[in-house]
Amino acid sequence: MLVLSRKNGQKIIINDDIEITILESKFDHCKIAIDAPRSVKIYREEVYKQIQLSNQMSNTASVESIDSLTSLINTNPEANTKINKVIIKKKDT
Amino acid sequence: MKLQTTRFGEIEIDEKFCFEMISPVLGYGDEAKFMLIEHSENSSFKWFQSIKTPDLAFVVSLAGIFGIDYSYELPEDVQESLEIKEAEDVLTVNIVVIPQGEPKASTINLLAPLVFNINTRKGAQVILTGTDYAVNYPLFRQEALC
Repeated sequence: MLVLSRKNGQKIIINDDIEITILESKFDHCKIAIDAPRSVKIYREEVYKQIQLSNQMSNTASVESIDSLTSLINTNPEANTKINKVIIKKKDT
Repeated sequence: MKLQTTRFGEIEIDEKFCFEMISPVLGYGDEAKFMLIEHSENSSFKWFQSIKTPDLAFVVSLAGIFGIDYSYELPEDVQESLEIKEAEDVLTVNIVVIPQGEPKASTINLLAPLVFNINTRKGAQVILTGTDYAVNYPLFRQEALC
């Protein structure tokens, strides 16, 4: 692993198209700016790990567990189906 | 062609329900091909079964079935990579977690849905930004536990 030391305002360049700037750093808090192509996926680690863990847990379900969950839903008077809504931004052409 | 699964035994592969993940289910980067399987007729749940790994299957459902108002803006890079032009091209499912022996504690992942282009049958797990949706949104309210 490469470990670099940077001062506030200094940058790191990765591959020719990713630029990381240390905006502000004091005590145990550091603010960084990342300038990268949109195709580069950037996540906060804790969010990424939480989703990974949730995916893993979904894979532990058995066929029987869905049956027991289904029986709870059918008796739920509040259940009413709503339609998902997806918003697609149109580019100006 | 037949598909070997741990939960459902040997099942017939139906290409109509097969999807290719161009951006993975997080944590499963080497799993690209999946098939959507109905849990049972008229069930609220489906299984997203790996074609490659017999014991890998995620429980999925639609947020709306549980009365959740679910609306999100598809990030532009996902629109492009999945070649989505219209909202009608999109199928969204959410992964459900059913804790063993505690179905009332089940949760649904609203923050990172599986998004598909139904025409190309290509998909991605998308982490939404600019929303308060939870990864583990409870399917049942707390008072329902009593």
